[in-house]
Amino acid sequence: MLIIYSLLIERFILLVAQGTFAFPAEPRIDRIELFGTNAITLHFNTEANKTYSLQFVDSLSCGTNLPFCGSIGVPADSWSNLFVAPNFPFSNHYVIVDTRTNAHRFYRLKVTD
Amino acid sequence: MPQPHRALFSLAILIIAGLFGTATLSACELCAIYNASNARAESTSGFTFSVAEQFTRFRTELFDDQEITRANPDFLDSSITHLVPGYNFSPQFGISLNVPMVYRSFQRTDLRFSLNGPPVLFTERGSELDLGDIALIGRWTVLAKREMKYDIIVNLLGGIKFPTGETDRLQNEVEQSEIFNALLPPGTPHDPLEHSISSVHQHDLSPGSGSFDGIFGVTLNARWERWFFNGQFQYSLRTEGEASFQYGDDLLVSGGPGRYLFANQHGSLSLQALATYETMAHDRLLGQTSARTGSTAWYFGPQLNFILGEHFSANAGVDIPLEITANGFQNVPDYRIHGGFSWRF
Repeated sequence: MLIIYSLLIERFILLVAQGTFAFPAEPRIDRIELFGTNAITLHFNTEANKTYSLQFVDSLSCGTNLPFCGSIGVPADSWSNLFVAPNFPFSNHYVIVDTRTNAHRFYRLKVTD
Repeated sequence: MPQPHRALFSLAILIIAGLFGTATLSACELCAIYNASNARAESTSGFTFSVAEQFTRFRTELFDDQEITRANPDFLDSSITHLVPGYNFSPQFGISLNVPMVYRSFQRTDLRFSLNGPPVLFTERGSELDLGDIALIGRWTVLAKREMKYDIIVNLLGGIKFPTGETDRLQNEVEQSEIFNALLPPGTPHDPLEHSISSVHQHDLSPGSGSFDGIFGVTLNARWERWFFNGQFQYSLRTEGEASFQYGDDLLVSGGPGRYLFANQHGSLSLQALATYETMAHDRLLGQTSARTGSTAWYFGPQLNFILGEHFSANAGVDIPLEITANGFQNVPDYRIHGGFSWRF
């Protein structure tokens, strides 16, 4: 059994080394830039057949004991959608404009199938 | 055999059976066929009027040649009616005015970008009827041999297409491209139509181009007794039009053999096997070529030609796509139906 596991791991390492195995791409915001006098642009790539929601929250100040806070002290359910990239059968690159109304704003990219 | 291929195979058998399945020709029928070919409008001087219609159902979505299936897809049903008054100065020279009326029924889901906020996803559904780009076409018959037993006619065509059609949609497409360009860091390589996620684009719906374009063509009509071959070659040389948008040049070659199924002193009916090759180059806008445009298609189908007396002729046919390649995300035809009639005064 140990030999079989070992062979499988070797095969996996070989595929990764050859570039024939690709890890699923993690959803990520690639770039945030200032745009004009009162806006920013956010860039992200999407994979086919997934829905991407670019969300924001204006404050991360959250007590860990509050019921709406996550375990890492981030508000769990107070994120708002800035833009939803629809589920499309091909990959794409999106550039989203947001106005700078607050001193700070936090963004995250949520992916659903 | 896959279903579409089986249908096409049956269609081909039907056409071949039709071509070979009629009786041999008598001398009187030859007179009728001879008169019939003269009724095709260009053999004598005077006025002519034609109406030609083409309906195309664009309901197959291709992304880089791969068919896409999704819920609530974009679609386009297009109907173009050409009204064509003409005048033949002589059997050798003629001129005609092509006035297209363009009807589109469509649905498209796309993004609308702005400089002040996130893009808005919208679905547009509707139908529109507009005047298209009017073309003035001249004809020069460089070869015409008309005998009882055979005839061969070669025409050279040349003309200009004028920017008479509405171009608001082209203007809107270029504006969206400019906004998207402004959002990218300077020098970022991208396609000028990268902003669009629809398979039915604004330039697909625009009835006009805003450009003066050249049209060049050759037609060949050849007949030996009951058999004939008609072919045409047409090239559209596009120039820059509305808001820098320039459609790609368009090449069309079509033709095929046919046979008179019957002919008498009153009229004739013929059946033709028609193959069509059509290719469109990439479009350009804002000085950039869009790799998301352009397509090539092969079609095959039957065409019936009907002639009544010496003045009236009509035709109808179907084009079934054999192979289509398209760049980017586009809707391509499921089939085309075309027909028309001409009256020689």
